[in-house]
Amino acid sequence: MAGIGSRTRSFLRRLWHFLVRIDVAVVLILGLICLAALGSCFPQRPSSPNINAEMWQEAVQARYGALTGFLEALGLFGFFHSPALVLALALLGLATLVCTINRWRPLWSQAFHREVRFSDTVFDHSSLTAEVALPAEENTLAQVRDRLSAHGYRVRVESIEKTTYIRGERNRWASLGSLLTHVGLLLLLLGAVLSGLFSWREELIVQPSRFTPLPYRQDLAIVHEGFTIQRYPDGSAADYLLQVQLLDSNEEVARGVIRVNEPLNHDGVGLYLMGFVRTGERYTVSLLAVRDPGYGPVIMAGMLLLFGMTVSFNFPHSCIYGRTTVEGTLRLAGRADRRAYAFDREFSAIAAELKAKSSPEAVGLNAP
Amino acid sequence: MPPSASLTYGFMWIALVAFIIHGRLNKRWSGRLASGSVWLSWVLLTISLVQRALSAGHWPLTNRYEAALCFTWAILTIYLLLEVSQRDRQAGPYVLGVALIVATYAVTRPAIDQAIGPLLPALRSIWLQVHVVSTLVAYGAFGVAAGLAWMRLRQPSPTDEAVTVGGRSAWIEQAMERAVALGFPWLTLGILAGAIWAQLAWGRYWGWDPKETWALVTWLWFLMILHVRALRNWRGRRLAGLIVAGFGVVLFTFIGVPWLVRTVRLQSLHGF
Repeated sequence: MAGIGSRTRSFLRRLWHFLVRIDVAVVLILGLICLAALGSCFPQRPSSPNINAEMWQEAVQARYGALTGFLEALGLFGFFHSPALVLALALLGLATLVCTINRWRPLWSQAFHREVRFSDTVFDHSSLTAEVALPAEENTLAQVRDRLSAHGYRVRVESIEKTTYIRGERNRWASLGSLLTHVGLLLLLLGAVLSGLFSWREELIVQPSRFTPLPYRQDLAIVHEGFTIQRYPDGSAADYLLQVQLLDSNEEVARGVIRVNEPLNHDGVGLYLMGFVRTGERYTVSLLAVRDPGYGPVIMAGMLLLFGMTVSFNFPHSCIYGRTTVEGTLRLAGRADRRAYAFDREFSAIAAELKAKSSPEAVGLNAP
Repeated sequence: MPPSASLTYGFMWIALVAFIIHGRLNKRWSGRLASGSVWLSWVLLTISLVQRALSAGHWPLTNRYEAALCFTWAILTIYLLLEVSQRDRQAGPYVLGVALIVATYAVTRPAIDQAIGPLLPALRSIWLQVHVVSTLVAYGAFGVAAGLAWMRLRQPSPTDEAVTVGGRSAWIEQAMERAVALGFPWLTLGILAGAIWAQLAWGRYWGWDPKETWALVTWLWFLMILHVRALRNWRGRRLAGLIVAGFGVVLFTFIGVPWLVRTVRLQSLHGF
């Protein structure tokens, strides 16, 4: 039993390390691209009851002939609800979740809990380094702080024995941008699941001056009070307006106009204008009644994605490290997010400014 | 086709030829002729779009012709911003080549598309502007990225690792990554605005409509590119190849999906 448990833990650990890899994410995204593109090439079985299913099937049979059965067996006519696509989305969601859990702590630490002190490996691993001779003045470190602050860096200083550490950071909170985008993607998938499981939509035929209850919500009913077509001077339709009264348990709860792009909403149910047919002097109208609890999360997810991208792409994190040496010089190193395109020039400029304020025996720069 | 749109198309070709000449001669006059032609194209196209909007009483975003003109305008605008900020016109012939693909599609639309008509009831929404403008800005940025990527692919670098910081290859790669980073949030906004509009119009924010599906394919492709950048062996020419292919996906979404819908006789709620 202990062996099974350790094997399971080992498998889960390997699975975890597999799912956090970027190349795995790339493969999953590419797989989803291929599936979506494939599904778009075949007609999908309509879900609307207004479309005759038998006629649709006959049209597909006429188009694909002997291949129809084979394509049907592959699930290509209902591809976007197929196990293959659902599995691909689930895997991508799982990889995103694992990656988010794996990275949130270091990203949070980078944003809020970085220590001022750092090890020498910073200088070994930074491509941008410089050394500046420090004059023996009391306000030398203040000048260094001022120079970095003038370039928009938040500067923290810590002195330990005879060594002083300086950390200047800009946009340190921007590392949370990628966290926001990944959380946004997870929320998007959650919203889609809520829509798939808990939404309903029902088409209604509403005749003039008739009382029409909603099938999923028998307590709600619509009364058609008039349908109007507004026209342009050339006679073409400019707008369609349906005046309705909405009753909840026989009491009026809403009265208004439903237009294309302007549904009537009440208690989480939306009423949408779908079509009309002239019946004598008046119009019989078809409405769609919809309740979808997934819509709100999906829109919030979109906002999170946008906000996270804006932060990640436009506020790149950059950091300048400084440490005094016993010889009286200041060693500098610079690191930045790859989107900080002008950072190498900025680092050179800062080092040159500090050099100009220091003694003429400054050692020099190592900034490619 | 209105005169200003025809002149735009003509001057874009003049700009392309001037850029090619400038690439060989590297003279000040040839460079100024090329950039001046692009500026003139941009001004004429802006005038054309404004005239069309004033005549129609709505933004020129309601059919394939108008959308293609706006797409071309977006590519030219982003290219001119790049040229002014970098003071460099070496990407000109490539980006103009990309812009001319879209512009040629615009000028070959049938007369019925080019005619100005009143706004259909289904298009009377602020989300038309938000959705279409965002998407076309994204497509424009991807078009510029594709031009830069094409330029990168034509460079005879011996290996993908031989990119010198501050060298020509590094500048091109930075610019093409920045263009993708510009376009991707705009595409996200365009798809989000489309989802909101679809919910308001049709009662569902996503329906796997062919146009919606291919917009998602485009978004996923560039999402893949943003992740691939972190992989060491996928810089340089490989990344440039992916970006050029990504613009191919953009063109299929913009031009190919209506053809797919007609050919396979698919159901689609999108007019174009």
